[in-house]
Formats: sequence, C-alpha cells, structure tokens
Amino acid sequence: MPSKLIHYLRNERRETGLTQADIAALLGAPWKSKVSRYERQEALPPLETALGYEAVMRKPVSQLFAGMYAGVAQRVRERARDLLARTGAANTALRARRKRSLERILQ
Amino acid sequence: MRSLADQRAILGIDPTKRGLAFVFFEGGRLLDWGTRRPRGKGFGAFEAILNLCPADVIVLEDATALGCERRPKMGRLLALLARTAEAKGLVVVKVSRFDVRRGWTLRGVTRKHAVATAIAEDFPVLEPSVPRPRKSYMDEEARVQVFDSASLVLHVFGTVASDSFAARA
Repeated sequence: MPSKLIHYLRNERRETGLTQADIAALLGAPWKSKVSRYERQEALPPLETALGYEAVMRKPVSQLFAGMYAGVAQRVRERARDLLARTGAANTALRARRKRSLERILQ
Repeated sequence: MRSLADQRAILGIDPTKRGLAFVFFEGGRLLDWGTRRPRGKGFGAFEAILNLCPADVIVLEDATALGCERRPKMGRLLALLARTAEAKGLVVVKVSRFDVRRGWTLRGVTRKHAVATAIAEDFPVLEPSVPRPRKSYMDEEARVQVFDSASLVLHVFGTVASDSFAARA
C-alpha cells in the first residue's frame, strides 16, 4: 500500500505520548512551533533534525518520511533505468559490477 | 487493538458549530485526528484538512437520511463538502447518523461517552482524548466530535484485529 502522507511525524509522536514541546526539547529546538511546522508539512526538517527524529522515534528516516522516500526512490529507479539504457557492454570486471549495481537499484 | 478493515486512505469529517472534526486512517491505522476551526468565510478548514490528510475516500453524514436531526444550515454545509470532495476526485460515502447510532445500540453502547470509550479500546492512541462523562449542566466537549467522525468511518468500514493484517503480509 503506497504511503499517501509525506511523513508520519505527527502520528508517531502521538503514539509515543510525547508533546511537541518534548520533541522540541529533545531535538534542541528553542520552541515547539518548529515541530508544529514540520508536522503540518509547512517546512521540512533538515538532515540533522530528521536523524534526531529517528533517534527519538526509534524508526528509520525512510519509514518516518515514507511518502517522501517512496517518491525519491521512484525517481532514482527511473534515473537508474536511463543510466542502464545508456550503458555499453560490460566487457570489464568494473563495468560488470557497475551494471549489477544499477540492476539492483531497479529491483 | 484493532485496525480499519479497509486499507485505503479514509477521511471522516463531522462538521460542528466549532469547526470540522476529522479522523484520518491509512492502511487501517488511525493516523491523525482533531478539530479545525473555520478560517474566514471560505473553506479554509476543509482545505487544510485535505492538505494534511490526502485521502482517497471521505465519509460524511447523510443529512438527507430519514431521522437526521441536523439543522438545514449544516445540511447545506455537508452537501457543499460532498460536492467539493467529489470535484477533487475523492470517493464520497454518506452514512446516516441514525444507522450509526443503531449500530452502536446493537453492541449495547448508547451514550456518547461509552461510544468514545469503545472506540478508544479499539484504537488506544485515542485514549487520552476520551471525554469526561458529561453531566446535565456541562456543555459537550469539542473532542467528542472527533469520536463522532470516527464512528461514521467505523460504521461504514468496520474493524478487524490488527494482527490479521500482519498475518496477511
């Protein structure tokens, strides 16, 4: 079932019973308004904050941001397909390894 | 703990005098709920909910059903919500409040507080939101409307034990 939501920050926070102020304190943000903006999808957290969420929620970032991850993964697969189509014969060990890596991305 | 029987993204909305109460399910899980106050004269609250909860299906009360006790103004608002949702390509499901109440009565649950408690038993994330039992001198708490909107969705789609999805996966 594809994720319709860009992220699950609000849902995961509510399941843990933590408040927005708790999350702000854990992430080192001065005010909870920042957390509120992330949850309302008005802003995207920077990488450090996203990793902070992973540490708090004990779930990988790709799961917390499932909808966004699905979109990014889909675009990467499309690019890998293009790259593979442009790739010539795998006549050396290095090229063969590169081709296998691209095929693995496509799976 | 239980899950919604339907895996689609489902939004239940119940308009009240305080704004729009909503619940949002995805993959059978209750993901979001709350109340949005109207912003100005437009449809700001409805738009805000749809932006936050991108649903495939929306469940509303059927204001034209027999036994509906909604005021004409609320009936018009429900019709407008249904038209707007359809224009956005959502599947609109209308359910009679009378049928919802009858469904709960068959389970031996008749009061709103008992309904809220029963829903919170199935979806424990809602436990902190269960309202206090209402006395005759108390106004109805705003969070009751969240359980009203949840009961609309649960009546239409029903629930299954959470582990049945895990077993299927």
